Amino acid sequence: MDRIDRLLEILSACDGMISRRFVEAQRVVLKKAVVADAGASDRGDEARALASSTGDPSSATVSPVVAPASDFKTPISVLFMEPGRDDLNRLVREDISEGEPGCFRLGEAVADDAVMVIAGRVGDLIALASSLHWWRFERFSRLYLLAAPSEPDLMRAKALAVCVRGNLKAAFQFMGWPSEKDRDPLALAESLTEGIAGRRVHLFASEQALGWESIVGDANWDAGGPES
Amino acid sequence: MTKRKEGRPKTDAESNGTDFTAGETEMARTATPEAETPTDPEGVAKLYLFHRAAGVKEEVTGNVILHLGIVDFRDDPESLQKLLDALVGAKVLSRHEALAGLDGRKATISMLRKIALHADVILHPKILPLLQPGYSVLYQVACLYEDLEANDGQD
Repeated sequence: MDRIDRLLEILSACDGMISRRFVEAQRVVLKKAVVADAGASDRGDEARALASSTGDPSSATVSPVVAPASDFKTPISVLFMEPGRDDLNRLVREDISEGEPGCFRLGEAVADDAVMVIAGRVGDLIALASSLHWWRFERFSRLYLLAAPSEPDLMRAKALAVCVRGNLKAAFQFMGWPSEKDRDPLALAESLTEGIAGRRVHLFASEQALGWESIVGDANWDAGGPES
Repeated sequence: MTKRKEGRPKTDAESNGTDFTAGETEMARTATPEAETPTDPEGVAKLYLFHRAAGVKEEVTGNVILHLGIVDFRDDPESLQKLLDALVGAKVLSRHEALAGLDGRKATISMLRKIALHADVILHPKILPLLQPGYSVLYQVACLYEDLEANDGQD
């Protein structure tokens, strides 16, 4: 199929106005499909070689690709989360009795040198401070308002909270108030953590985002671990 | 429905159940030449989509002009900086981006230039009718096309 026709096919699948986030998500899907194809191809070659050497055609079966977000072992360097109201209510509960949800289990994988960025209103971030231990952080290192306050009460002001651990502690600083068009929390988190190598996970994401393992919606709360 | 003030007479648009106040509706109407205002639904949709596509075309054309200007001035730092400074004044670039010149990572200027480099894709008759003006979405479409190209290269 012609590349323009493939692009047309991808864009036509959008329900509603084609947005930046939609196209970014399609790029992630495309990238994952390529990686999966390459992996399947490699495993297929190995399996075929094995089948050929053993004479057993059943060993040519290709195993499924493991979803990266159900990986609780590969160290996470940057963890970003944008919990909604319902997610916040669940995150601050002290009795997690129904099995440990994936969004908490990922804390096992947060590296010793790591950053966690949380986007939310100041009041919600304060409430969340008592739950940071799930991701092996003790306290917020920075709290950045996204705009100059318009009133003395900051509880509803939008902010980014940053937790830092290990050798990364001095790395973060905003150059000034972000402009209206630059106030996207994910873009700001990327800017703050620019240059940090390693695995990046986006919890409570609304959509897939390029460069992140984005965990969307209820997948965050799956007891067996979130799936991307 | 926007709440209407008491005592003000309704316009035809309001009586027909549109979501705008009389002032807003009339303001929108005067922004379009009378001769161009269709009265049938298909005509309204067609004209809307025509102007939307024209918006994308204008935006891409502007980016192509900017890209060509940057290429022309690449060996003339003073002129290049004047160009970037003018864009700061017009709120296209931040001062920080202008100071970074053409080397800033993820700089707006790089995004605008990528749109220009893929003008043929964005303005393709099959693609253009689907797109909305806005540099961030057009940039991502250009990147998606590059991804498709790269994948083809791996096949």
